[in-house]
Amino acid sequence: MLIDFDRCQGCNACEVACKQENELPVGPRLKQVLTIGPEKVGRKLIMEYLPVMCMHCENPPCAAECPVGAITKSNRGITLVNEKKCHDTNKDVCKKACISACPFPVPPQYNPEKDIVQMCNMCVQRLAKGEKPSCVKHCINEVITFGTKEELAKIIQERGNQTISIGGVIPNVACRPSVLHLPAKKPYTVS
Amino acid sequence: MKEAAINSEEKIVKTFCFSCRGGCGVQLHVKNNEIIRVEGDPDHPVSKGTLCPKGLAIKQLVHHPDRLKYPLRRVGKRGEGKWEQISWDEAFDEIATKLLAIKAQYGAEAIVAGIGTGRNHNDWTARFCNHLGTPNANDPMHFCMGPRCVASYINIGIPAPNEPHYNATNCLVAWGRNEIHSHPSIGRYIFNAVERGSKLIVVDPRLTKLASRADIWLQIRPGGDDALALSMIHTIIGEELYDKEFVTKWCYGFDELKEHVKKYTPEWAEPITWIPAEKIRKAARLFATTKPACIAPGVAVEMQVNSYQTQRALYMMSALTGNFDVPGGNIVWVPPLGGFFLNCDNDVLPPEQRAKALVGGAKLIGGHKWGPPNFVLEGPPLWQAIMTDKPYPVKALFFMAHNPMVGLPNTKAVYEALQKVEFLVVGDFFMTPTAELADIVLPNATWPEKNDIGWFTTPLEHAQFHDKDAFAVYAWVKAVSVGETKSVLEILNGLAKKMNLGGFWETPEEAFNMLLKPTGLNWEEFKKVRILRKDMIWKKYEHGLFHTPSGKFEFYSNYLKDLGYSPMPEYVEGPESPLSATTMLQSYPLVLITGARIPVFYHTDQRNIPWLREVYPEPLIEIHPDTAAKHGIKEGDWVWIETKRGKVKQKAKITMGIDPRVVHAVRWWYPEKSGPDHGIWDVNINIVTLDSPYDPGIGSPTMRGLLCKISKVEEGK
Repeated sequence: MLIDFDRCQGCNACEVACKQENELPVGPRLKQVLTIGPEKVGRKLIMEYLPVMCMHCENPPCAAECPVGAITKSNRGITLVNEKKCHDTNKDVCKKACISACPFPVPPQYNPEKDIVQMCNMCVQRLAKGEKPSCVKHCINEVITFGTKEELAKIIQERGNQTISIGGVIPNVACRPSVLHLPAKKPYTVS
Repeated sequence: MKEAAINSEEKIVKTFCFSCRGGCGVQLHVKNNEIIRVEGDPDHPVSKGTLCPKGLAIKQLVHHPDRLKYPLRRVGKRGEGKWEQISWDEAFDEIATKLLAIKAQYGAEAIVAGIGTGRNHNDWTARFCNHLGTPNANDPMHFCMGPRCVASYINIGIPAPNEPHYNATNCLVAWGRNEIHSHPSIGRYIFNAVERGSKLIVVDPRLTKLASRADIWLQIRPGGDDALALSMIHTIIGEELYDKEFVTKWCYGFDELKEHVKKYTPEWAEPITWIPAEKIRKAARLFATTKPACIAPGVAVEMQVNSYQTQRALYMMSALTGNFDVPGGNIVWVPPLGGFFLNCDNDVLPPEQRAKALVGGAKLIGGHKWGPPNFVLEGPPLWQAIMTDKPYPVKALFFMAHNPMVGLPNTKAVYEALQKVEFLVVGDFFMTPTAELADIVLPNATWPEKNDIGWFTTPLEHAQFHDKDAFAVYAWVKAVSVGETKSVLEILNGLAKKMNLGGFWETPEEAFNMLLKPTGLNWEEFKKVRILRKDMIWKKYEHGLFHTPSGKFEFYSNYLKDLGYSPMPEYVEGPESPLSATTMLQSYPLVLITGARIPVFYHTDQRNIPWLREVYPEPLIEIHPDTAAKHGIKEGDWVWIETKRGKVKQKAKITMGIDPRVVHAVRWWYPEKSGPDHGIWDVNINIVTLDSPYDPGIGSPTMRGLLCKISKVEEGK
């Protein structure tokens, strides 16, 4: 998934689309729109909205930390929670280690209604029907692109071969996230 | 067998979202009379399968456990929260009897309707009032959209906003209008324009995302809009950047305007607007020399005392530069169902009744000749009539989709009047602080619960136009029913029948057939067509668009002059500003602005929708870090915001995006807190806003640009 937050207007449609798709109660927020700034970074004035969720790392630290192996990678590269395994695990024992293992702004989210940890699953149930993930479909500004790594790499190349870590929010770590963020095209320059 | 009958098949109802005034395409997945899922409709020409959060969360609103489902009659004292359920027949009977008795004793003008920002019933309510004989039908037009309509009426003789045409513009001026949050569905057209290379000028005291993308961001002092506009006009004319051909051929009063703005230099404007003179010049030049260019004026300009004249000045900038009614400029949409305000039956209201409209001296509203009477001053003149019987008694209020206890300025005055009025009827989705004070509460139908024609008296800023420059009307189709809710049109139909009034129908569909007459379709046929559009005609002034006395775009209005108003826009400082109230400034040193749009809420609605409230859980006041530090306020602290009217508290959001001399607070109430006030006396910012003095022409109050002071709320106090 590629997030071109240059066009994100902070309307939170993706977040509510995600809540509906996963029938989530108040509490767990698998998708969140962060506000970055307003602040001055050098001569640039930064005021951005940044949709973030599970980064679907190639080597997910959450999976490594889960004592019962409830988090796995699908053959399409999607990080998935085995809900039954997770539900059947005593949270006092596992201490929801996956949550603290995650270095990203939206770690796995605990859903008390189901007593499981949840994260973005790229709407696998929609993909199976040939539909786009709900946040991708409903995003008004076409901020989020879903595709294979090759397809996304092409877009990234077109945009100057740069993905970014803005304000330290997206740390550069070895777990190789599959959700990438493109830099803003034209932030305001303070005169 | 029995279970099969209960468990109906899941069906998909294609309709249109009206969680704001949008009109985006939705597919409601319905099972057992319940919306179980909402999807954007990919076949919709504009929203193309997308939706904003307000549409996506609609099932939580429609099926909310707190929905009003049946008519209620007050049984305890007013505001005590004791109700009994009654039938619609009883409700209609009681309302009809009461209203007819009041009309007989005091005259029909003693009955006043309140419309709220439309759920598409504005004209029906005006029609009802006309047939009832009262001139007093209020919608909030005196400080929202109305100033744009009046400005346009004076400039070109047509009461329709001159909307920005994002699709083809090369220079967009977003002036007090954060469209990406007020109408998220339109955001894409703005971002497309910017990506296409369109210049962007943003006039906003807050650093919005749009401002962060601007070529020029004018961080204006709230209240300085007129001075900024006039000094930009000064620059455009002074540097001869105007479109001489258009001005000569199509405009009236240019020489007068040229003379008039001589004094409004950018240097003069600098201390008033807090914007450096050179920056004003730069912005004026960029706007005037980039073609086509458009101005998107927003409500921020209208919640000030010089509202319609400032909007006039903004539209003048567009005409001066030849950007009027051309692609990429400021345009007048062509509606498919005839013209504006045509279905209110204005002629049935006798002139002597129309003359009684409660306008508090404002001469451009209250059944003024350009529009229906649903444009009265819901503010001091109305509250005074209720409290003092002057100029005549007002005994009954009939509010639909209207929550003035949160939405109108000076809440205390609103509250006193609602407490005193003899008979109050309120229709809404939920028990709002306003409904709590009612004698009869009526349950209104939400958009998935009704058939309707998405049709507007004024072409507003709706997404559905933007894909091919064509105004649209659309068919709303009923998907579910909740309790015994009724649409406002159904309520008015029922009441008109009981009261023996003309002009109404047995069923809403008969009204729709009347509306659809010009198209040759009836409702059943229209339901299948779903969207009707009318192609844009450019440069309509070449075909007689200008209905002014001069037949031209009027910079100078003799009509205004004859009414005793300034024929050209002037600079007027607001009543409580750092420039006009220097003594007060000593104790109230900050400028307060209120009510910037929050993308998950529409006006005062939806604070009780779990998925939306989760995104924006608490009322926030935006404060600059320096100002916060000065007052010992940290992020998340509760902060008192105090004006001469009182004080309320909101939570501190500390941000570089606002001037240290300015704070911004939001509109708020807590639906989940107990009635009758639902926490408004703690947090509702309109307790401290100002309803008087108001714009002398149309009555706009001051909700942006007031003096206030802030302090940290100490624990235990």
